[in-house]
Amino acid sequence: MSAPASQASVTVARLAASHLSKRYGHVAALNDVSVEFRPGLTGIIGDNGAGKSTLLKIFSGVEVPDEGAVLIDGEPVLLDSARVARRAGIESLYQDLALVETMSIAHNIFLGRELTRRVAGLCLVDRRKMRQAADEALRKVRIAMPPSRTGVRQLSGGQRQAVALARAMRFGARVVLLDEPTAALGPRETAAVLGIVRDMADRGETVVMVGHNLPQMLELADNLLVMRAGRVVATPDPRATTLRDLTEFMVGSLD
Amino acid sequence: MSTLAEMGTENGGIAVEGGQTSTSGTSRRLTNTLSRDVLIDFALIAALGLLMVIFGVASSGKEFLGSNIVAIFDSGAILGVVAVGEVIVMIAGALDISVGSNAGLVTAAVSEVMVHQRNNLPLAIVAGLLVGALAGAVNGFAVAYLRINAVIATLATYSAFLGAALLVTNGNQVGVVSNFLATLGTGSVASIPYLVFILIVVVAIAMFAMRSTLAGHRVYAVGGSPTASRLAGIRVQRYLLAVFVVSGLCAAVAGVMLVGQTGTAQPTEGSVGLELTAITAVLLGGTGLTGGTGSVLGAVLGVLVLSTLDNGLLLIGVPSFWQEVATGGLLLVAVLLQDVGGHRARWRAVRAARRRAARSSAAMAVRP
Ligand SMILES: Nc1ncnc2c1ncn2[C@@H]1O[C@H](COP(=O)(O)OP(=O)(O)OP(=O)(O)O)[C@@H](O)[C@H]1O
Ligand SMILES: [Mg+2]
Repeated sequence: MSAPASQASVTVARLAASHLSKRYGHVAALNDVSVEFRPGLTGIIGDNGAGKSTLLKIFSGVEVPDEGAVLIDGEPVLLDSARVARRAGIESLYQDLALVETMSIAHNIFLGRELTRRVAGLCLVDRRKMRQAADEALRKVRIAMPPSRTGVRQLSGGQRQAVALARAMRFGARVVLLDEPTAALGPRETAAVLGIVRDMADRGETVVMVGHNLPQMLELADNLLVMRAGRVVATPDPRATTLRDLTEFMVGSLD
Repeated sequence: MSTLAEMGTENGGIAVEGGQTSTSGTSRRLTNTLSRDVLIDFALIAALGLLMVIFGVASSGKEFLGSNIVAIFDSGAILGVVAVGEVIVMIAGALDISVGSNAGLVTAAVSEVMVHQRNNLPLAIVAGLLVGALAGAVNGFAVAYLRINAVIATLATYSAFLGAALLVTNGNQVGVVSNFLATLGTGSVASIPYLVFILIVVVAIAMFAMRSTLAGHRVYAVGGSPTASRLAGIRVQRYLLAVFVVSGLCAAVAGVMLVGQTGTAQPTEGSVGLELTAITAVLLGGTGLTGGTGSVLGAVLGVLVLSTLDNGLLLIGVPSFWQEVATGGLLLVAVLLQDVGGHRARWRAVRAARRRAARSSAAMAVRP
């Protein structure tokens, strides 16, 4: 559907979807949505309930669409579980973070990807290596954090978000999906996280970020998707769009 | 025991080092790694020591220590094996009410094979373990794949297994003739009963598996948050199925031990009721009902505390009804002291705040 960035248009999108629809009872959360995600940062904006999280959840394997297909490198794939999506190289930060409260920071970062060592044919967890690697990953997030052996239960909302972010970024995924990654962060931490997200995009990774801060999105994103009531209503070029335009896309005509 | 609560709340509020991710400071590391589990283990060991001293003094003259410690372990061995399975299920966030009747069913299976297969003991034991594991698999399938609530599912199988055991044995005690089993169940080496050795082996394997292996680590994750685990790509249903099979297997081992101890198949006596005592021991050991926390060692210490209490009260001639009351009281006290959600700390704070408010409003009132 979209008019993708100039030189990238010849290549196939790393991650795409065609004609996705998803209903929850009478609510059409997604209605015939087609998108393409290419290297760089794609921002998704839209009012509450516009369907942003639902779209990301379909790529994360959490929800299965009623209609339409997800394409990886142009090939249709069935993402019917989070496990399958993660294996396909799609890493997610969920809006509700999905952390295990009873475990440490380190164990949350490596949840499902535990570092192990083999001893006499047994698969043993390597706690020390996970702690070290987790401390390393957290340093990159540049948010004040206790040591990675600390329980997640003891963290503030922003620190939890940092843990989820460190997890989403650590594994060199094909595509990183971030659902409001700065929602719980203070201004300084937000700047730090956005800096990291921008860095990733500059390194040529494919990053998709849902956010409500329009000026920020305009400044940061390479591509924009505006959603309204389950549809993608515009894919404006952030360099040639004003705030007023965006608001208009989101809520309909302003006059 | 009061120190437990204090240490528990202290542990709940570890100060965050601002901005530091370094792992320096060994003293801080020590307090951090002294987790709630370890504190509870220490408290249980202290409680054990205390109970032994109390009963030792109260029963002065009778030699409490020595022979009696062995008796405590011996009477706790079967319960201990059941509790190991139960604690793993509870760490995974579920509950297995069927372990007692499963053990009873296993004794019936063992006796059945012995009677009909000319006392082929190896076959009988294998059959018994298989029956137990299969029963566990039925529970696991119902909980993990049919998504039936664990309490309801295992309450149903509790009845079903019990009924099956009664059907097989016609409700009678069936004698099992086997020198080997009899020795296993009642004999000892260096005055340590074989049953205690079995308990030690089961506990050692379970502790290692839960602490060090990837599978054990993920059981904690699944119990802590099935949703987050699933989103991280962990096959939650398989782990749930597996913990119930393990629990069934532990119940089966307990069943075989029971046959050895009594020389009979016991569809009800000695097996039914194990589940509640096992759950009590697990809760004493600091494992919650919400999953993701707890330890095998804690559960075993809980078993020892319970059997020390039973044994000691019996020794000093307290009627057995009171043992039940004591067990219940102990559970309540222990759970209060463990203060799982920090409720008591909050309650104290609220009370203090009320007092301050009352005082300041009183001060306002006397002011002209
Ligand atoms: N599990 C669900 N069951 C029923 N309805 C749902 C469910 N998830 C989402 N919806 C509905 O689908 C619509 C889109 O929801 P979605 O979470 O995708 O919105 P969003 O754009 O992420 O909003 P927000 O900005 O508030 O996060 C909403 O109307 C919501 O009520
Ligand atoms: Mg959302």
